[in-house]
Amino acid sequence: MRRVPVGLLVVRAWVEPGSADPLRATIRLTTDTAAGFTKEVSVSEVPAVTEVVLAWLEEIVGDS
Amino acid sequence: MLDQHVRTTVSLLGGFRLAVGAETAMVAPGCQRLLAFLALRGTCVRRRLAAGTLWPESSEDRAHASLRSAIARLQRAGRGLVDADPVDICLAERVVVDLRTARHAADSLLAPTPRPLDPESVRTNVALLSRELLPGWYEDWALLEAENWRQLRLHALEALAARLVATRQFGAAAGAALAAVAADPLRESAHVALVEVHLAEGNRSEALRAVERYRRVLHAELGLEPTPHLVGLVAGLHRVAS
Repeated sequence: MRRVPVGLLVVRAWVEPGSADPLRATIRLTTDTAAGFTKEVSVSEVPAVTEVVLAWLEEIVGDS
Repeated sequence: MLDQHVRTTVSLLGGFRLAVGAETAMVAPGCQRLLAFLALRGTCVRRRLAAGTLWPESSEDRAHASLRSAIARLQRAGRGLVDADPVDICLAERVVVDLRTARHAADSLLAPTPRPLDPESVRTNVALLSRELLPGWYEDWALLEAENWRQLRLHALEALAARLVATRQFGAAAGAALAAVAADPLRESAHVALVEVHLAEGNRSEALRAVERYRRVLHAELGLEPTPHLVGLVAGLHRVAS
């Protein structure tokens, strides 16, 4: 049976009190959990988070 | 056959390990998942829940068959690791789980009136609190627990550093604060804890260096500056240190 790769993306987000830009988000992702997490990025703006998520989904669709 | 006097440990911190006495016991992946799941739950669980959680992509019948197989393999090995009846399954009471020990240590450190710490328990606590939970495990149930553990251990390490500063054990305090920084390099409270250790010790140049290191990391990763609170801790030290 052909193994179907499963992607995984975990966003860990928190607010840093006292910062002018308080959002912190660390994103770990992979397009195949068998390979473990292959990328980790940190961002501090909501659009940057969505950008990473969109790029990850597009990569999954492109790999299929 | 099982020797009830031999200590059996399921370790989840730093990776899965089953130890019988001092020896590592080999366990099949399905059995590892079952043992880890039961160890994390810390209580008896319904077989249906265990099957559905551990084999989510299988049909119900197949998931139950996989669970029965894992239980049978563990029971055949004669280690008495799990107690199972037709409805529930539990980790045997005598099995030691390192995460429970570590959580207990963390809770003690965060208690309003924490117990006194001797040097050996400080070393043990820092070692336990420095370890990730099941690194490399990507199942939903494991990831969520891993994040909960990360939060708890970060708070506990910072609290430990503060307590050690209060008793003037600066070397151990720095070790605890550095472990918190290593666990999450972008979290400012960990850097604050480290800077406070250096300042309490009168080590101003180290305090400045710690702030500068964090400033560089934060700038490189996020293009941001530390908060005024952290910067304020070392404000006015530049002239003295130079």
